[in-house]
Amino acid sequence: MTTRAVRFLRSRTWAVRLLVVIAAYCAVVTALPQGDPDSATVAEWASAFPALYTVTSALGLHQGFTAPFFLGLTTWLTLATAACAWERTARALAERSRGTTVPAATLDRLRTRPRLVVPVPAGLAAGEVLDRVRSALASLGIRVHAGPRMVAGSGRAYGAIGSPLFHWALVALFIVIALGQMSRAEGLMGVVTGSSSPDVEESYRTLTRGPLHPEMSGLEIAVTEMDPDYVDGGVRYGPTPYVELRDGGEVVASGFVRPNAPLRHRAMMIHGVSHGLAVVVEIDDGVEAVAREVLLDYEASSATGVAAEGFVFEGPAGATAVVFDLPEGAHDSSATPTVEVRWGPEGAAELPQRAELGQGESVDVGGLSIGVSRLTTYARLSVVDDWSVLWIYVLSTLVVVGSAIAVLLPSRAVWVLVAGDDTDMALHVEVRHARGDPLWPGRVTDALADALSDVCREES
Amino acid sequence: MTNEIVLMWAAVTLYALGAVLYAVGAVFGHERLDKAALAASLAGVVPHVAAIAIRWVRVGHGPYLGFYEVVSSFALFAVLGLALLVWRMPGLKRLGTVIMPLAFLLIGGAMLTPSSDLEITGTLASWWLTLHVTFAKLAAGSFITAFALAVAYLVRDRGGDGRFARWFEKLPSQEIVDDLVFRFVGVGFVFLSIMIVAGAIWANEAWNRYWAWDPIETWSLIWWLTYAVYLHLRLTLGWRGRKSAWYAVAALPVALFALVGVAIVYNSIHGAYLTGY
Repeated sequence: MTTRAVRFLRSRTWAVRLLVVIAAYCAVVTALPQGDPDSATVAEWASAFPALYTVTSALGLHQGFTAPFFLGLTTWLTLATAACAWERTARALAERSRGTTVPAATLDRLRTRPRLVVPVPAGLAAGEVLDRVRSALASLGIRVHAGPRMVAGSGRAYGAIGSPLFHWALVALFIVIALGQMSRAEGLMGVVTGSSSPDVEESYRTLTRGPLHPEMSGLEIAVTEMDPDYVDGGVRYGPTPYVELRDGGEVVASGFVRPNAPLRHRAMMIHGVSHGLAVVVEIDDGVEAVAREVLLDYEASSATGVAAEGFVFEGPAGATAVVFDLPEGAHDSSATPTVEVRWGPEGAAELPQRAELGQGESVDVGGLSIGVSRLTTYARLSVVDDWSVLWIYVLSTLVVVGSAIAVLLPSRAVWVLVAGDDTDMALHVEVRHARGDPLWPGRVTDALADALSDVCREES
Repeated sequence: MTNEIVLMWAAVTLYALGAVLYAVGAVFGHERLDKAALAASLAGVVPHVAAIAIRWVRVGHGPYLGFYEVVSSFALFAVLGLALLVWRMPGLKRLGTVIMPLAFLLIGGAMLTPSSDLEITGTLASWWLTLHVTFAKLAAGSFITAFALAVAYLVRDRGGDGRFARWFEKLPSQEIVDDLVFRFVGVGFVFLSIMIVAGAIWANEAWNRYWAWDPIETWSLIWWLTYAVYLHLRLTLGWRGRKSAWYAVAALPVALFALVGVAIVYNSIHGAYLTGY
């Protein structure tokens, strides 16, 4: 059963079929909207093609790259690649241990039915012929070993490692990607300029953690300043946060965080995604004052707020909803930003009362004083904790190196037997080329003929 | 900008002239036209490179933003592929009969699109992007060259007294042409692998994720798998000659769709590089 399974995994025909199926599956899935059933794009497609949607959703094609069928295909691909890598390795080792030893069948052919024959001019002793053969093959990059009447040589013996390296690196890459995805944590958090947030679940607006992800690091992620118009290397990056990563008060990494220059610490990477307005609100009921951060995002093209934020409190007038929003026409380049506050009974379709507040201003809301103690910016940061990224870079490079060696540096072998006696000598030649280059036999025989033709030129 | 446009139109004209001369030579059997066709085609490289260089200096980045720049540079790499072939094997000059019409269509298509300057944004300011697009163009040039060789193989394979078969008579033997198809696909595969790896690294540095099954990313994988199948068929299942050539011909549309078509058809974070932003 094991042997049959291994034979199946090593089957070249099934390998080709598998690659074709994966490619076709990817093409189909890419043509369909991807996401949860209730996401806008999927819902829109479902209403446009209801009959087709019943099929595609049943097959899980709208989350096609995490569907069990696709995971099954990639698992099969990993196992098949491993089986192939094992076989290629065994073959490469066998070739290496054989070296330039003439296979029995090749020796027999050389003696009795040579595929290539190069005549030797008269008057040349066998020893001198062998010397000329050696130097001719050396000129082709072949390392030679000479016997009494035989020269054997090989070139680019390391070419045999290309295919095993390529396949093993692919296997390792698949495994590392899978483990990496299962232990990856990725999330978005907003950090107000001049303050910090710890790397814990509660700090994130959105967070996904793989089932194997260990505890969150707990490191403090601080935004110490926001450069409103960051320029680096002649490229304008716009508002860019300066981020410090702190471990118990000690700064372990810091820098301006922008595309192509994330902040790194061990397996953690922090990118700046966008920025917005941060309102530090003070809510005072006359007994105690509580501070709260409200983060508001700009929609750059329309200069309006996106996703107003708010809360509900129990005041003397009952449950009151308070919502913060950017005023109409607000823009992130404003030197003196303000925030719009709207309030009214909870559950009301519209909140009837509004005020526009700058920093230091407050408004009475149903017996509560709501004031803006600080109006500043905040940075939306993407934080990823994924140990596999560096390994993926390394293994991907090995995949490329392996494929380059296999394709560009195929191994070659040549065997030359000096046949006949001193009066009637000829070279019987066998060649091997890993890629089956049809020009290779001609190059070898031309080099040998040229080396021997010196004798004719000298004589004439 | 005027100098650049004039030079580009000069390149279009010379590529068109090359394509026409190759076609006339093939259809009417004018044996000597292949030299004139090659000369016109390679002459077109001069104004083409000059136009790209002028634009590069003006906009501060290479030809990889917007349909106009990207597709025009694919045309350049296709013609450079022909030049490389002819330099190593002069007998292959008649492959221009296949390559030059393709190059003309690419550069002509590019000229019909807006050529406004596009600035490098923060996300695009990266050496990984430079590597990514350079190897994309090298891969495209390699696969286009393999396609041309495969077409020539198939035309001759059909045999008979067909005018196109006679036109390709002077190419090396079928065995050598078949091997060249494989070599160019092999080299293209390595370039394509580098393109994908450089792209994944750039994506991680720019967007904090190395792969998100974005349509362009997925289609570059499909492109890679397509040629991986070719290599498997050739090296492990012994596909040679006609079967191998037909596959190399059928595979090129996958490559062209991945390079150009996906950005037009699908919404993609990558799409901006082609359709503008």
